[in-house]
Amino acid sequence: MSSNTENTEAKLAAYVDGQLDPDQRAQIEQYLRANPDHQRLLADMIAQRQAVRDLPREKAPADIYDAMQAQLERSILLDDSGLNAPPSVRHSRRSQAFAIAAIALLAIGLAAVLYFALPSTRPNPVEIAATSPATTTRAPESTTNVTPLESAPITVASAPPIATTIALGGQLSPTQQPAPDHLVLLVSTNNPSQANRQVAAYLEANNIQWETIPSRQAFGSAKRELDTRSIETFGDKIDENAAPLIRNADQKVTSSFFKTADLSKDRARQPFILARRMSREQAIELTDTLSTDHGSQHARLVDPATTQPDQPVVATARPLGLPAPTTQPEEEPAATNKSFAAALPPLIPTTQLNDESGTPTTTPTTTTAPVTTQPDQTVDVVILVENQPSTTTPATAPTTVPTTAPAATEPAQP
Amino acid sequence: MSSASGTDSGATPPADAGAYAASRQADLLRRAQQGDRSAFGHLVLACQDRLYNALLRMCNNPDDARELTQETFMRALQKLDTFRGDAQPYTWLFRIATNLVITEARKTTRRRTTSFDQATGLAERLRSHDDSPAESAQRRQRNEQILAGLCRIDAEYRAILVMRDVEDFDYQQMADILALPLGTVKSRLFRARKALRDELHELINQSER
Repeated sequence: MSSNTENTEAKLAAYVDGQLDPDQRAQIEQYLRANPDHQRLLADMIAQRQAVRDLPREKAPADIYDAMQAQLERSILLDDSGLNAPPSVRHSRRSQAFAIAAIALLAIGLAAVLYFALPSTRPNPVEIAATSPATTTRAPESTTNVTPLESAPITVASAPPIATTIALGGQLSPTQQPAPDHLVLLVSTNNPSQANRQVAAYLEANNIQWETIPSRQAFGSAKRELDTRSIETFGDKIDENAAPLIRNADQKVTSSFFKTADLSKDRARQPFILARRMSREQAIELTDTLSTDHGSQHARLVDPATTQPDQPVVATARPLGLPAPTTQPEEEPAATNKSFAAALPPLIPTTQLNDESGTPTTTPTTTTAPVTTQPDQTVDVVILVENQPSTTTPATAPTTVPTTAPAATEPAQP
Repeated sequence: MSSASGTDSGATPPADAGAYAASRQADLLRRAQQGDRSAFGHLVLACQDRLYNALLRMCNNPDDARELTQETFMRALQKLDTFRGDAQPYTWLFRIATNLVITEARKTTRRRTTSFDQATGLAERLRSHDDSPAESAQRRQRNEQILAGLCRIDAEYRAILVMRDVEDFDYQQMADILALPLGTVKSRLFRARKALRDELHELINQSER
């Protein structure tokens, strides 16, 4: 189509809308007088325009607001709406590119400084890792593939792989911690929808208040501190008075979780379920429930407040209860199942909980952090279901420790 | 937590109601971007009727309009951080909605184009009449025909017609939403009106046979 035609059409549209100046209007009308067909066409258009404008105004259905909220929950829970997808691919990729470039520059710069400023005392990667502010000062014991600094400077500053980081529980404080304000239940599965339904069914069956929290990136810039503005986007509709309290609690829980455990943008895009005020035994029971015997689904319960880097779990699932690499529990609680479970320290193998006698089985798992949890204490649980199509072994016992991943030589003792 | 009214920004309401509504919506969106969870909810409440009506005119199906309205707000929630404030919030929402409608429509077969000249007399048949019961029924039928005609034209034409004749966006707003030059917007508006006119002729002729 020529620009001349487009100009003519533009003028005719403006004529129908009454947006032409008098000269242009007179010019068009003169043309129309000589072209009756086109005159009828424009008369039709003017009448049609008014008829469209006269169409009745419809109001949105009264429940559209609630339906949208339900859709939000369902989408997050069943992962079926693309809510997990990057909100803006271009934006996301650009951000990732900047992040990668920044990390690479930082790594190269740090390596260069260390290499040239300290030529006589070239440290090995373990020592360099200890200098990184993002890591702890303890050297990994089980590093099996120590790479010379010269050949792989970027590894010096790189963060531990996210899977390992999550499994390790993130927060690296070796000191005694107060009772956990939340636990993290990580579920690796080849069927996230089914796992989510299992979670929902368990929580509903046990009258546990829960909600789905969409991804951090779904709601804003990665620069912002994470909070969970999802369901509580409409919080005042749910409960005007409770919403601020819920929001504060959410921020505490989720910011803690993500600050310590979430180093991956992919993971940051994942929604999760926040189950409120679960008892510890319920959390462990849910962990067991979510694990299958054939290894296609594996659940781990992590206490980010007390878990040490080499002490990955509060509880691994019973069917997969692989031995952890370190010590036996220092003390064996003598109690029956229910109170026993609630009174136990944070790191406890599920196998013990399923032993009717309350005696620990031969499956060792690390117990390190002291606990102040009381039998009747409850805790919020962040439940993160991840799609792991080929999950055959749990990630709770990594065979290698990343170069920069700190590994405690001894578990913290009560 | 924001107030329920969502108007606690302290700004003096502009005299013009439309400008005030736009200002309030901008305030809500900004607060939503800053993490105020209730602000987005208030924005939904403020915009849902208008958006639903526009979508209903685009698809002429209440269920589809409802789903598209929800989906628009969901997408907006996802893209909250991409709103830069260089358009009005409703315009931004409408752009999302339009893209949804067009994308959805492209999944189906495109409608045919129509010839330039067809039977005349549409203007008379579309002209409003007094509201006697018979005329009221006639008006209702006319509305149904218009809506049916809207549904039969290309989705992009439908969107541009709704923008101009239902939403009353000005040409510049339409150009912003469609990311097109002003002249192209007007040209497409003309072709959209012509396509609707041709469809209406066909529908009316069918109903009169």
